[in-house]
Amino acid sequence: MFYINTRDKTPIYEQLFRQLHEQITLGVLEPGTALPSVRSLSSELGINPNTIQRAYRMMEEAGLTVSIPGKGNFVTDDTAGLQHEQRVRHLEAARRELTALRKLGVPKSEAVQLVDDVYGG
Amino acid sequence: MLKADSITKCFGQKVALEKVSLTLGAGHIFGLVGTNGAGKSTLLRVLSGVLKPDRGHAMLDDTDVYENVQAKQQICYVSDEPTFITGATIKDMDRMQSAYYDKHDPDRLRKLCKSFSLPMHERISSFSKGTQKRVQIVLALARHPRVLLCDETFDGLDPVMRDAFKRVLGEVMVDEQITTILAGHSLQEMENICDSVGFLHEGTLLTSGDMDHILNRFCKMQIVTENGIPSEVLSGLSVVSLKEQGKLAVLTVKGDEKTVFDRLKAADPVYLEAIPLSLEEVFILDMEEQGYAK
Repeated sequence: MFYINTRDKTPIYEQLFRQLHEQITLGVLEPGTALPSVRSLSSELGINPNTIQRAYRMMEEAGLTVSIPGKGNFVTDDTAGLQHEQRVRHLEAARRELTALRKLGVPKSEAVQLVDDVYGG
Repeated sequence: MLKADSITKCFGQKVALEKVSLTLGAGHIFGLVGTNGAGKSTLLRVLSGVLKPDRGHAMLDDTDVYENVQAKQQICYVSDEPTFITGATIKDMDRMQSAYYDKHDPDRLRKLCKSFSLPMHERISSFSKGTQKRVQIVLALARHPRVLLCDETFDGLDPVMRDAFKRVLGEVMVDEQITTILAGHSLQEMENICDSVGFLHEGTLLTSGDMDHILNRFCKMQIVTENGIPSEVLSGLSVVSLKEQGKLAVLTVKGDEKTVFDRLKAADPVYLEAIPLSLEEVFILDMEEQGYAK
């Protein structure tokens, strides 16, 4: 299940990539499962098949899926790779949140306090 | 492969197209965007082999399409003004297309009529304008075209039908790798569906390229500085517009986001952020640059 927001200025392939990424790292799409075919997804979402192909290519480049010619795209069995991806993803999220805090004028000491609380430092 | 090779077309004194060149591969959707009277329909008519260009060639796989029966079998032009044989029903059009087009597929037509909820035995002239557009689309797709040229087809459809059309288009693109040109004004729609776009203005193709490239021609930045942006930073950028409100400034700059972002960092900003531009905004900026309706 994917949801494309055409009002969002994020490109559609990016939206699709993020959702696939999320579903794989969250374990919704389990290792070894097949991604929907380009044709069916294109028809389901009413978007250009080339856009879907592009998102699938990005997934493969990120090491999250493997493409088997003639069979389709599958979620990778490589759990170490998945863990690495998860780490990258959460670090990015933490950075975004910290940036938001900084913009709100929260002092650095308070943010460091938060890290200490979490890590028990 | 569909190719426009430096096409020039005049109607009397009026130059409708001037040296328009374009190459589109199979399975590609191209959005043709243009001001009113820019020559969109003329270009589509030339590419469909109906109009003879004064100079240049319209080619399908290296053969000229003008009055070329073989090429015209494979090209389908969906005009912005639906025209059908007087009093004809879809069934009549089905028979007509069977006689003229080798690849016409009555089964597919029947299926498409069903999914677009069109009655096959009623006079087409009794349908509303939007419904007639739907008839055009199903008749076009029933011919299994390799090239589909749509003139403002989206603009006349309601949201439900637009969605249905996009789904069908997605399917046939995967199955048959057709090349599609969508000409029109609904830029939001284009941005979402096209692989690449081109801006046509007074007969000249101003810019064309893939969507990312087009969207990256301009960028919009929001910047907060303590003492304003130093003039040497501004003069190093081709600024299209600048709006200042105290410490906050919003500027539109020609150039890609990354370069502009890095240059603006020199202004020692407290806060700097890129605001994404839509195809519509880029189109308007481009047209203003050309002196259209400023």
